[in-house]
Amino acid sequence: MKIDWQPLLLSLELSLITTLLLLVIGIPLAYWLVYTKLRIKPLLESIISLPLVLPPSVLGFYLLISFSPNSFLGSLLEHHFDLRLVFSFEGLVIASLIYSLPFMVHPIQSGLQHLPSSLKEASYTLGKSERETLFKVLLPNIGTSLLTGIILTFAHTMGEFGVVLLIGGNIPGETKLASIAVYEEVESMNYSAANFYATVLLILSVVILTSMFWINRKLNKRFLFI
Amino acid sequence: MIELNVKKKLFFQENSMILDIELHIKKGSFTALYGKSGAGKTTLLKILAGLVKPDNGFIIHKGEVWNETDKKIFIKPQNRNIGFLFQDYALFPNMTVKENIQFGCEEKGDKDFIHQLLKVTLLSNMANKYPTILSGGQKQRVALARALARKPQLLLLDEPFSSLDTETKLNLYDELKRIHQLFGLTTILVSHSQEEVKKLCEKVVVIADGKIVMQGTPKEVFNEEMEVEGTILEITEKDNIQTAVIDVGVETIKNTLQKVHQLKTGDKIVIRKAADTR
Repeated sequence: MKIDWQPLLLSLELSLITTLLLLVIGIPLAYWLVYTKLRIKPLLESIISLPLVLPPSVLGFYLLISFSPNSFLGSLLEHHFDLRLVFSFEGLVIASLIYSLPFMVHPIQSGLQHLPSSLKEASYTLGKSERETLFKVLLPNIGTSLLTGIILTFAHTMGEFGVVLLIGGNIPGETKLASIAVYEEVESMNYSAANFYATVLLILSVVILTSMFWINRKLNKRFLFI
Repeated sequence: MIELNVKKKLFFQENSMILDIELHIKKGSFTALYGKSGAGKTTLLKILAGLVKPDNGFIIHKGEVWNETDKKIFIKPQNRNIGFLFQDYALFPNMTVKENIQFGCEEKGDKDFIHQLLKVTLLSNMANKYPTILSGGQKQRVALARALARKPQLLLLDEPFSSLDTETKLNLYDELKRIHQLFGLTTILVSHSQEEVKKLCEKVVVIADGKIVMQGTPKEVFNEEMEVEGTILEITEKDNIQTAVIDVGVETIKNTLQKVHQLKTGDKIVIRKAADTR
């Protein structure tokens, strides 16, 4: 049996890019959500959480419609930035960012919320700016939440299927991810190849989750008493 | 040194209260804000620090306006040069004792000063330990050293000793007094302990329900014979002796009652407090 590693590598690449970008987007967003007093906060929170409850195919369908070259957004992107988001890797990245957003934002938000407000206040009275307080005081003390966010985002993106299928299709080397490969091999009755992809995904998931719980336990011991 | 006149509406679970305070603090003084919890003491301290904004009023520190709501002037806590001690210490768990103190220094290179701080707070041999393993008294000393690291002129203490045992407290009182003089600080202490106030402060401001009800030296405030009006909260009877819990605004006190008066819960009474000879 000749094994094609490309879908697995593509899945890893997508997960890595998505996780890094979401870390950059998720931290300020979670910070803002914790401290904002705006009345529209519940609305924003529910929009961010939507991917948790929405069937992935529904999200994929709307993304497909709005990114299609016939739509306003799709044509705008294509004409001005030469960017086509349907059936392309870039489109998968955008879809993954939306799809995995709550998995990054929620743990960080909850971590920040559970820190005593006196830590932030103490840093302010010591003359430190909001930014310095965030990076030197708040974030280092929510290590477990950051790690949870990173791991869940990564694992969740690895396991994406419905959204990817709708917006990315099945183009080898561009949008054919490992989860899609499993589906395709089963469709063509190629069970041993399907089994290979499935086993690798299963082992990867177990390793990722075990290491998360193991590291979290280590970190928790150090920060148990604030 | 400090002129303050602020108003702020405070919301609690069931009701609200107006904090309305006018206060003058002299340079180099050690002042207590005394009263029972929920009276607005901590909020007042946080308003002074810039951590809470008043609804209206002003704060002037050494001629510099820190806050004036009419002119929309608000100096951030970062720019007020204060030291603040929190009830829960608020030490940064990700930093060692020394790093915690260093974090407060304006310039990172001020090694001599950090050593001096570690020395005066008796922490030299704990410099490289993390705060999680320290005792309550040690944590509070780290917090004090960190608050002093910025060389503040004004030190604000929010019930810093409330969760410490008596012996640790007594040691810290002496240390704090020494440090107050050594660094030429103006210190404001929020407290609900008469003992603490008597040991440390030369002036007491008694706050009840968001207003100043009395101020003076601890001797004047606590030792004077005085009459207070209160409401009976609860009456218990044992061996034919009635004991009442009475709310007198600043605190609740227990008192035995004469049965002949036939008092009941909710009655308003006047108590004459005898001179305290302690």
